[in-house]
Amino acid sequence: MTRFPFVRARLLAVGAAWLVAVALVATRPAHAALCTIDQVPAATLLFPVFEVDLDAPARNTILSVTNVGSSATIAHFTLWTDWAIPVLNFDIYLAGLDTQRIDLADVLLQGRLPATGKAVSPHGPLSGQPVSFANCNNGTTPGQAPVYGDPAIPQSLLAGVRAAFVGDASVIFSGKCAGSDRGNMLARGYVTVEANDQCTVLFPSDPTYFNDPGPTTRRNVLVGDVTMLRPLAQHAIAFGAVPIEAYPEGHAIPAGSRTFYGRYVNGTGADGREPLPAVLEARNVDGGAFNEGTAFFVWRETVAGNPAPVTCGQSPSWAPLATAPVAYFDELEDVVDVSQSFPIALDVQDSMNPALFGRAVLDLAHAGVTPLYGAPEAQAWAGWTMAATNRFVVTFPAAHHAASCAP
Amino acid sequence: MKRLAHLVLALALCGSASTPAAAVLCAVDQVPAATLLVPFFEVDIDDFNSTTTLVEFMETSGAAVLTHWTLWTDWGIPALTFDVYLTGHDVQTVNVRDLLNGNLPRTASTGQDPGNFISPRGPRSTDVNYPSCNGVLPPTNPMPALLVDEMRRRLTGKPLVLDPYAGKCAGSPRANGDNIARGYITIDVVNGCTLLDPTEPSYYTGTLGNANVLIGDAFLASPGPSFNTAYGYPVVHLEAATLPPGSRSFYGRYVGGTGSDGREPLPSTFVAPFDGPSPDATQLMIWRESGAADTPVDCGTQPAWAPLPTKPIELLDEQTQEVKASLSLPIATDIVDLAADVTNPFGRGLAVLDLDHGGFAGRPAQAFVWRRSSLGSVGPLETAVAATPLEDLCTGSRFFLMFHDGFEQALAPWSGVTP
Repeated sequence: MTRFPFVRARLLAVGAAWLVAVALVATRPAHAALCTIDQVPAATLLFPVFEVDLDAPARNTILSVTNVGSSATIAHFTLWTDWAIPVLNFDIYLAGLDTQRIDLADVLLQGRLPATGKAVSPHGPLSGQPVSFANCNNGTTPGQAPVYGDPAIPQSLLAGVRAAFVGDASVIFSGKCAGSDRGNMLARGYVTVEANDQCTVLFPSDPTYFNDPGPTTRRNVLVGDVTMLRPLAQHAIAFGAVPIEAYPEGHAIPAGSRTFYGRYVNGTGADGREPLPAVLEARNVDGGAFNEGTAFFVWRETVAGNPAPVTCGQSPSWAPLATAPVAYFDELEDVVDVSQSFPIALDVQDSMNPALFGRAVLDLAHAGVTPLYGAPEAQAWAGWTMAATNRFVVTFPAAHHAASCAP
Repeated sequence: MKRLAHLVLALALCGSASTPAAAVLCAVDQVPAATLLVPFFEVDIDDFNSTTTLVEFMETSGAAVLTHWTLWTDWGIPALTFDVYLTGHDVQTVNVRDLLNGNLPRTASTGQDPGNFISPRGPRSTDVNYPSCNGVLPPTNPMPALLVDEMRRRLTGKPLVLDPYAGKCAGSPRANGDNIARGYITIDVVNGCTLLDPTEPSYYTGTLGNANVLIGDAFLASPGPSFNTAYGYPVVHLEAATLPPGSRSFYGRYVGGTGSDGREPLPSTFVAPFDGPSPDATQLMIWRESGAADTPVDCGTQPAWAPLPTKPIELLDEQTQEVKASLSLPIATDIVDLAADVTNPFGRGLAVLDLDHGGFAGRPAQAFVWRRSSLGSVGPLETAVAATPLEDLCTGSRFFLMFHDGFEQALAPWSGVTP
């Protein structure tokens, strides 16, 4: 079977597919400080935002992923639209201590992917032995994942991929739309990466993705970062990838627990991934050297189930996500609650603080996850930038309030 | 004369309710904390348009809080301490250049500011009185010129002029003769205005508070028209909790390793991707736990603990070929350019740093690493992100060891969640 990078050409029926909790096998607990965002090796990385200008080299995004383990792993990439619809996935073989950088302009404009694998990836003295992974091309002949040919994505599919990320009608979704139409050719979305031990064409939203046995592992071995380049503005925006640590193998997670992929495993905890918080805080400055002001990058958990594209011109059934008024403080501690909607899974918006200098408290909980967790504790991540036009930009992940694994 | 900012004696310590928020310890997470560490700052004293460091910090709970700042030299010697009062939800931005010019943030609790003119109180904020701050807050700016000069001397490694340390030095000499102040900053929640600094044992017996309510960030900027660079990064958030006796802790070197400071510790091993050489370049900004010696020494010599031993840095290219290169990070704060300062045969790859120097029996020395990159091949672009720790902060166990069989080996998870 040929395994191209998997372009989502059809939707998998989710129905009421309930997954059972992972079997209680012999416990091999890994260390993890769970239920908080700490910058440590993790089993899943969330690159919370990417953007690629499809018309001009004005904006691009570079992803960097490192396997800090001493044996190989399969890094399973999924590119999601800003409506949280997965469009493209592919596998990359990472030897121990291996790093791969993914230029998303290469992917989305040229259809190119790294050719990696047991027989083609270099193995240094600290990389461990080459590993044959199930369902992977463990030889040298290009074609099957992860030894992709060049280009890896056929042009016939690439146009549909690009359309999906700019909110246009996409041939891979039968002419429907999978993302917001921003009226330009800026592809925008987010990326997740798992440390797997098989090649797979499944998306994390597939109800069988976290089956045991299955392609996923709970190896907390991945670190990474994302750099968005805006050279015409002389800006580069970098965030560490959000590390999503996995619970130890066999660790029983009570049903109803908040987990990162909880919406795709019906709240069973079968994904075994720690959750993200719901309340975040950021600074805002719109003045002085930072004449361009403050922008927020906000990633939000949507609702349960495998998200479907919709007829173009419409919005997903869950949109807009409810957003509590943003508490904007000035530097005199006066506060106004501003109605500012972050309606979809990924949004980039300017601060709406009427004060030029202040801070924002973003409570991104919403009731769409209450059926899963019994409480509206939807997950979120936010970052912010303060920019000086054509000079520089400073970038920060937002601080977060204590996250809870239980609702 | 260690405490230059306090020109009057503050006696009473006023206890404020300090209820630790829920905390996940042993993790460098960006959550409200009781201590903030700005692991590196730099100010070019001679050139207003050149490098400075701005620190932003905020109170998150709505309750008023008193904070105690300490500017440390790159030898880990306090150079300046002062108090900053925050009403609930307060945000303050401090340009370290202002501090070095003798201008401290003007704040005051209700006892010193009954009209709320200095530290305003918002509708969701509390505002309390710290009697111990009478005569201390708000500070009188600017500080006396003699004290400003002494502080600058400490932070630039120049001979001091005031007794009892006249003729001694408190920071590393600047080999190239520059006048750039370097060091690091700690910001602690405290229970009252104080003359103490974190090197003193009595700081930990009633002065240091435990409310996890501070968040912050910092950026190094060269805002002048000929510089145009800025690197932003969150500061290190150190949560407080009641630690078991003998625990590793951030201020462990000052409390005899008892853990009585209640601050979660930092790791010692980090991994960071790198680019280089020019026009792309990666620099690491590094903070290391030095020895507890906190007094200036004869100029031309160095503290008893210096130089801190530094293990070779492991460099891997993208084919995972490895070299080990010698590296010297002899003091508490440093910047290393992975192309210029290290014999690095690789243009791109992964750097692994083990910054334990063996100076603390029974535990590794703490450290923190930020990575900043100049992307000259793309444009005049700069980024900064944290390096990734590779060990459990509380046990010191290395992730590498856990991964050697390819899967995580059994290791009892540390139940670091506090109520």
